Amino acid sequence: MKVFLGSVRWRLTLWYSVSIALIYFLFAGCVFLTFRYGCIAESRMRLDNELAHVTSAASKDPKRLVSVEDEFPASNFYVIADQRLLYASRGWTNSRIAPDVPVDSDGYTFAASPTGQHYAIRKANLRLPGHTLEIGVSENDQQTAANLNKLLLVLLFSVPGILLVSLIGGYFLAGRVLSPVDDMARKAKEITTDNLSERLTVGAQNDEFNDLARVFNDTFDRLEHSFNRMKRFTADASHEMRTPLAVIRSLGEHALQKPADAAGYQDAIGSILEETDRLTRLLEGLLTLTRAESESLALDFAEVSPSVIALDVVNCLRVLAEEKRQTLTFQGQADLTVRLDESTFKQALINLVANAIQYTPVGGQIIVRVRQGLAKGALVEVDDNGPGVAAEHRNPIFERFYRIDKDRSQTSGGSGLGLAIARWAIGLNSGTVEFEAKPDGGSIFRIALPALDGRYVQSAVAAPCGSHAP
Amino acid sequence: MRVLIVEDEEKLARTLKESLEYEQYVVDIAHTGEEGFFLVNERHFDLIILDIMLPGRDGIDVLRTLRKRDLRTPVVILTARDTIEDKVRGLDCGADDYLVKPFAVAELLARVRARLRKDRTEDPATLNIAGLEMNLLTRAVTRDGEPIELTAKEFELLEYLLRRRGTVVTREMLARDIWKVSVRAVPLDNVIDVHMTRLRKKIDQGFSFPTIQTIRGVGFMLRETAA
Repeated sequence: MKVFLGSVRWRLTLWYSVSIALIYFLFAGCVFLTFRYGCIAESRMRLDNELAHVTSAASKDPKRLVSVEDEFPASNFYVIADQRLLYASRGWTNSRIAPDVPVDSDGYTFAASPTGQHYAIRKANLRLPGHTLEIGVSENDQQTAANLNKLLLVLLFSVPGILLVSLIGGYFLAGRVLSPVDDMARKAKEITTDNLSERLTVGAQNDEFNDLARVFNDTFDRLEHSFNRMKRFTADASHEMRTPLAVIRSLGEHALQKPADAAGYQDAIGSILEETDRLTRLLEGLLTLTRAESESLALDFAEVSPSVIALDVVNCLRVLAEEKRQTLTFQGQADLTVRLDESTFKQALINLVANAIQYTPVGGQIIVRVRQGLAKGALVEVDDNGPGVAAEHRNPIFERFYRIDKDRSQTSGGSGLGLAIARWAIGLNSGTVEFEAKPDGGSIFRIALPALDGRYVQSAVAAPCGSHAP
Repeated sequence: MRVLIVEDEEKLARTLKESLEYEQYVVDIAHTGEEGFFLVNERHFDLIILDIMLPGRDGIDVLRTLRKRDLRTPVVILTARDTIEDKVRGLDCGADDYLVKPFAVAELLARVRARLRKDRTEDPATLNIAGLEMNLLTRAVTRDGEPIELTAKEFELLEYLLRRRGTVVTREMLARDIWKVSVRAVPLDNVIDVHMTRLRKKIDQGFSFPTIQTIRGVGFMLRETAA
């Protein structure tokens, strides 16, 4: 049973059969009741006729009752006058039904005779001047009862047949309804990583199955997209790892190739260690990003002022800007408070500001701005007047290992993970990072942080906001 | 001072042994948790360096058993896993310190020194090396009697190096202890290098020899004499 109910086809079939059976029972009940009602009504009409005959005869002259019996030899009747049986026809006497059988308020009843026959009975009282006559007529009902029984049998015996037909038909219908699902399943099974671009066929009709196919196709689109990203990422990651490995290997081999003095060996070993460091850092960044996707991090959320953190970051990185003779300015709104994990937020902001310093030319200008955003949230902007980012690079700029200069030169430094880590860290703080190109060149990286439970909290610290230029 | 290294990777164990021996420690090596446990029961160690992922009996298990037996020897654990839960688990089991592979040997040596020095309180008012003198109370810095102006960061940096003179300080140690950034994926190296360059300019330029020396690929070191 469980096996059957497990399949949608069987479940549909069962539902179908149950519905058919219910409809049939309703129909059969109606047929039976209507037929029975008709029979009874007909029999009552006949009894009423007969009663009328007998009554008219009895009211004129009780002696004429004999002639009634002669006229209708099949009729069964009796007449009682003043508790005394005045007359009983042969038919009534033969039926051996006692005249005092109880009747309903209309004067009708059914009774079974001791001979095993079924009778319909009609009784009425006839008031004559001086005395009252009780008149009863009956009719052998046996045939009608037999007909009704036969009808009931026929109706009941057709149940298994109807059930069988409905099961077979239902199974067939359910199969037809479900066949698009089978098709979809077969097609979906064929789609693997080798042919991820294939899609389910969507019919012209706007029905549920085509909707389902469309939903599946959308899912496949997303899968294909992320799979391609993953493929590109793997290629990029292996490239980034191979380069330092190749350097380490060649440095080692070269050092062994010819005898050198201590300084030469020290130089080679130093270079090897530097490359190891780069590799470690790369691995560290990758782990940060992949761990973000698979594990929960222990974050420590607290209500903090983003201005305080931003100023901290600016002061920390100021020396880098000074080396490039850039102006690094902080403009902040000190009374803003948001809920943050300070460590990850700081990590993100350091990455963004370091990125701006790195890509803005010597003598450029970088502004870190904290201001109130929409719905009482906070906006933290890193605004530079560097060369900007060409339109085709804007979307993928936050992807891991995405570099604008395709030669992946190591001269610019960095692992290529900075912006990806920034976006990840801001995401942990329920914020978003977006890139905006300024019309006069230069770019703005904007972090939007959500409001503190939708409320704007006025901080008691009235720290001066505005410029903290060095 | 006797140190036990429990580490299954033979090359790493041998390198650590030689580095520690260079620093005048007596070193024993165990390659499995079982062997390490046996050695600890056999003789006294001042410190144990314990790898967590060992064949057979793992490091956490060994550590737990040792602590259950009320052994108070400081234990520094090494592991390739660095999730917060792993760290907490290690420290909960009674480890005193935690290092994630790949680590700088210089850092391991610094941690070992810190562990073994712990009870010795050393807090002098002045630190000095080769004519360079730093007064921690007045915050005055002089070299060969000449006063040197340092920023707050540079002062902190120099104090950190002076307290660890003669040993290598890595950029990771500086980022963690001076910049208070423990996440390694943050680009602070350039910041550290700029500060170091400026500090050098102030305390070494124009003097007989550089006290701050760069150990390529590892970090920095304050030395009494030229290398």
